[in-house]
Amino acid sequence: MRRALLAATLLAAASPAAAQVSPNGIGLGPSPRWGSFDVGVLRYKPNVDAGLGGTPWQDTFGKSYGWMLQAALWKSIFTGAASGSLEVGFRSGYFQRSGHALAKDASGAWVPTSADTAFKIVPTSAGLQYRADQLVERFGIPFAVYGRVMFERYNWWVTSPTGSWSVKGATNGWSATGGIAFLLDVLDPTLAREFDRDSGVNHTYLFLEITKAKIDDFGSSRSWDLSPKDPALAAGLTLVF
Amino acid sequence: MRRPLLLVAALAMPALGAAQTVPTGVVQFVEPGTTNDIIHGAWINATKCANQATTNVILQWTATQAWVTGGSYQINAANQDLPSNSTTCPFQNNSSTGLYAAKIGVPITNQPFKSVSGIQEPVSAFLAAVNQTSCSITSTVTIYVCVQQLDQNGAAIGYAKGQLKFEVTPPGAPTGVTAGPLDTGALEVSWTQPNSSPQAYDYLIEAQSVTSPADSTPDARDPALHTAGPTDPYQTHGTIGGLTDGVMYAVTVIARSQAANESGPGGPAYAVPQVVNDFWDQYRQTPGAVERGGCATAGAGPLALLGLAALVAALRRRT
Repeated sequence: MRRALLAATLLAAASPAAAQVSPNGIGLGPSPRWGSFDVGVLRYKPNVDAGLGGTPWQDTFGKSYGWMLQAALWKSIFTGAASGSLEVGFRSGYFQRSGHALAKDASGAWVPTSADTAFKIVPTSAGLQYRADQLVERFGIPFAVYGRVMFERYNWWVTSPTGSWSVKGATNGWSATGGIAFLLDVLDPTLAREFDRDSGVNHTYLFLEITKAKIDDFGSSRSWDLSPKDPALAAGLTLVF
Repeated sequence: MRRPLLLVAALAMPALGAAQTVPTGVVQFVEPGTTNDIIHGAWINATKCANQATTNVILQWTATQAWVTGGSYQINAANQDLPSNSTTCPFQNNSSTGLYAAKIGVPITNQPFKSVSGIQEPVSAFLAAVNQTSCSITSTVTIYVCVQQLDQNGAAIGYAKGQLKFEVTPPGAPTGVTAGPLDTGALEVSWTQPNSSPQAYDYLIEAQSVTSPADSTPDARDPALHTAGPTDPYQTHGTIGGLTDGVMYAVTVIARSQAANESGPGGPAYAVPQVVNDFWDQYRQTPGAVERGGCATAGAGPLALLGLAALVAALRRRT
């Protein structure tokens, strides 16, 4: 639902921009820029077990990583062929990990049961992003690098085997991201121009990024650590419109 | 605003059309002991057949015509449907066409409405009407029930009809029954749907304490038989509660057809209810775990999101 709303916002914002550019359908250069929208997946496993005398996350959910779906909407603060783009925006998403609840066997060891438990996160984030797209805008080289800092708030809850909420809460933190984006427009420039003319989307990028995050209520002793276990990789699509 | 209204109107149009074409004159059967179970109510099973003199079929219907002062309803049952070109319910046998039919009960005169409910007639009357004298049948028998609406002169002016099914064959027993602890005093049970005809519709779960898998003597701490269900239709897992932690139970699952004929028990599976830790429980019991996990409640998250949305909107207006 949230992503649908974001997409609707994107389309609502993009369509007027397209109309300003080329009412007769003949290219007059790129349409005015409002901001960008991106959607992607983050490889994620929280660092909950760090510093504990046991491994509750690993015992319940295993060693493997999961994927956090993310979508973000950014508003340009300034943009220019020589200066790059500075944007402010917010992001949300969803992460879920399901596993088996644990019970003690005859020897007293914790063993998985057939009953289910799950950990779910809806992250909400806000921050600044700078995209150095001078190579794209001035020289037609289809790569842009970018950096981002975000205030993070992970809203989370745990479900019990009976399906009810066992506990819920929120943990705050920060993240810093660096990434590189490949301009997909170069694969079919004609299609890219038509996309701009019809929808107001200037550029479409494929991005790959790495994030360092600390989600532990800024070091609070009363909070657990939901930071990505390692510097986290993410990939997805960016639409600049 | 206009587009949402158009959307609502567009969605409503087919629904309105459908409402206009819903057939009237439908007879439904409510399962005794329930208020609105018209699935099982439409079946006569082995148990109902065995107790046919004391078990009732409960009928409700909506007639095609409004009630006429001085009119009545007559319930009829037959082994053949009402002919498509007829509005008169069959009510007597016709050996040349193989028709078995009879009136059920007496004319109903105290229900001056188009919709009638709560009418009860014995199962035996419906079976006798279609010449079913035995409860040992191998196939499903359809009993066509037709409620004739009559005017004050006894002339047919409308009807409603439905179908009762008579079946005594049970579904196959569930296979692959497994059980494990779900919570204190509760077990989670799963099974595989039997591949049989008739198909399994819902299931009953039973748990009986045992001394061990090799000794079925009930455990003195909880000698009672526990039951749960029926499950929702076509479920292949369920739970059973009210058990005693630390006691071993033999868990069996019984499949039921739509007619509620019961299969033999599937299983048993053996399990012991005990405390189960979800992720949060497990985390909290780990040395070094923090008290609450977070410093705030989740309710502030959506508020923060709304604030950000407002900020973006303000920026957009400025540009």
